[in-house]
Amino acid sequence: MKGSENLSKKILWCVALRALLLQASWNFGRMQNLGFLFTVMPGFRRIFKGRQLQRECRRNLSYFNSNPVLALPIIGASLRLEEQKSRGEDLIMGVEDFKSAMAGPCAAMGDSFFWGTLRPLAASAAVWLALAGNGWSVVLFLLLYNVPAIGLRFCGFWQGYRRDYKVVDKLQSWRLSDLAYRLRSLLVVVLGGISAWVAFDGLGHVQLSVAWGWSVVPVVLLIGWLVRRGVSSLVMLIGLVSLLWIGLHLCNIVRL
Amino acid sequence: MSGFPYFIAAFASLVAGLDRTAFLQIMVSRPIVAAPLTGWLLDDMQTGLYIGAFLELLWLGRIPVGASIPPDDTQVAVGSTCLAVTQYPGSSVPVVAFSILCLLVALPFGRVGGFFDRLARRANGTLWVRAERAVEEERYDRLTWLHLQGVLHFGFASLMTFGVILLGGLVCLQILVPVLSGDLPLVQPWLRLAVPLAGVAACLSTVNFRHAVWVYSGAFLIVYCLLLLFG
Repeated sequence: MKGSENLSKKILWCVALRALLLQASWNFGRMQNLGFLFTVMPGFRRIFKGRQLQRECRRNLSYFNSNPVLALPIIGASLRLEEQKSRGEDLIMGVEDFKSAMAGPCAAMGDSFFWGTLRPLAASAAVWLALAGNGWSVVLFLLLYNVPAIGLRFCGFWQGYRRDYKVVDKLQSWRLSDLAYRLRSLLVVVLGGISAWVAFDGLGHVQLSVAWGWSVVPVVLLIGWLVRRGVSSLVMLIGLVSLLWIGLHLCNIVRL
Repeated sequence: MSGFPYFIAAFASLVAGLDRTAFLQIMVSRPIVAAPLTGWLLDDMQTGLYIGAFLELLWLGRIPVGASIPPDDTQVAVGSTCLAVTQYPGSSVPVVAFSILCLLVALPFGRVGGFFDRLARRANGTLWVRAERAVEEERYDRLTWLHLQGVLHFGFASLMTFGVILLGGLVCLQILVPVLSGDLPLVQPWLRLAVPLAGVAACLSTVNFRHAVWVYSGAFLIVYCLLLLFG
């Protein structure tokens, strides 16, 4: 990737790395506004001078909030647009309008894909290994999540910088929403696998027949339904453990 | 007991807590990483692995969307691992059951994490106002420092949450362990069975997938049959 005549590759990398701290000053009022300005500042200081720099800084302290991974294509594209603006080129849309138009959809897409799908999938695969006592589960989780997430962060930044408005087409071509739906089916499969393994292993330890394993699916689905209906998972867990405790004591009393 | 393990755990709490929002977000803050990391630093990774796995399943589906702040699972993971390692009463008490007890004790205090997190975010609200002033005065170097102050706020919130979980947990364990430790060997195998399944149920309830029930049942059926045949 070749830097423009204004921004060197070094500055662009500096901006991309600063984006790792995008959320450091997250606040309820304007969310990632200061983080955005902090991130693009090395680029701004090169592009703008004097009063113009002050005006642009002031403008970029307005509200901004997006997913920390998919914010990078917006940052890259905004920087390129600011560059074009400073050269006096006509823009189809103002940089502020572009930022606010992109932030919401990128947040929705990123939250759903990275936090709602990829992270649970990577974590559930790692949990399976961890329950078996395997320490590599930690490495597996970090790799499964971070290889795509870090890859898309930096790739997204460079794509944004290279394509300006057209980064929208690139984001669409990644089809993250479709991929998230497919990966969610894989997540459910892994959860089924974990349940089967836990039931098979656990029933051996409590010295019950493996036939009891078939009752796991309805019980899990019932508890899941209760949680979905609004029962807190914390209350559910404490209730379940208390029931177990009381049940075992009652069994002991009956046996005596 | 020396305070050294608590300092180590506080260090893990700070690193994992910063990763949660302020810095990197490479998921060191997830219980599946934070708990084993704390366990490893305290020389008992296995305990951390169990706690991390149980907690990860339980709160897997909770995501911080927009301004919503979920309970601080990071500090619960670090705090309960620290409690499980430092307060372990001895070989008469099974490790997994004691770890689950520590987790159950720490979980309600995780809600406190939300309070400190909100406090940090409110404190950050003053930063951009001061940043606007710095821009007016053309003191652009100050912007970096103002932004990085947010890291300090989040770090402070993490340590405070960890402290509350640790202190609350220590008090609860002092009361509960003498009462419950005799029952733990009896309950351990049941807990090993029930707690992960409860976690799976909680996670499954958050998955937004149309045929989740059928796919889940089918996957269970296939894996369970394979385990019966070859396990």
